[in-house]
Amino acid sequence: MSGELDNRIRVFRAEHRMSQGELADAIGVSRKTISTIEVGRFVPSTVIALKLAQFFKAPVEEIFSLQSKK
Amino acid sequence: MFDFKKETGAQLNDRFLNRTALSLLMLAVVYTLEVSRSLAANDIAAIMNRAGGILSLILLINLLPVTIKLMWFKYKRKPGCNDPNGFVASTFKEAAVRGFTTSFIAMLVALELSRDVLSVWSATVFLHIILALTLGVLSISFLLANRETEPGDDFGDDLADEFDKEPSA
Repeated sequence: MSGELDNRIRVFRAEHRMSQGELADAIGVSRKTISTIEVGRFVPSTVIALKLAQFFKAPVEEIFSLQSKK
Repeated sequence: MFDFKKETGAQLNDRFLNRTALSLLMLAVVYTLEVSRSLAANDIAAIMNRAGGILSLILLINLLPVTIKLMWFKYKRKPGCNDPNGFVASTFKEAAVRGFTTSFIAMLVALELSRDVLSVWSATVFLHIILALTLGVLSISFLLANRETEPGDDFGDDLADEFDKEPSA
């Protein structure tokens, strides 16, 4: 297992038909934070990860996972 | 176009940090001008003095409105304006660490240079150089790390279209 963090925020966002800005407003962060998490440029804090999970009503592991070694 | 009236606490916090970094860069230039002024001839020094004054004024105009608005948001306890967990806030922290490292190295170098090579320079000149370096490294590293690199950040509409498509038979 490598240390790279994978995320499915984009998929969850699409399911909820939300833009990055709307999601950012909903969990109280800026759009830049959401966009950088989505592309893997920024590893979010536990607080942001839990806020996302709470918002999407999904376990954190369903949104974030560690990339498996190829 | 960005609507400042609809700005959230988190967006304001990001804008404040961006403005702060820009102001620190201007301050670094002001200190660089101070150093150059102490080494330049009188007539050039006067121009540099005026340029430094103008830059200081721009710095205040750049930072004051957003600071007042952020203070107002914090007073009103709007969500997001106290959030230290966002991308921009953590980029600023990383830049601050780089700035601190630079100041430490610059102080060690200045200590060595002041003993022998540049013993004629006053302590003020050395302090101005260290401040210019520290603030310059902090602001430039923040502005570089924080620049927009993702083309079309907002994928929401595209994805909504993808989900709207009927599955092919």
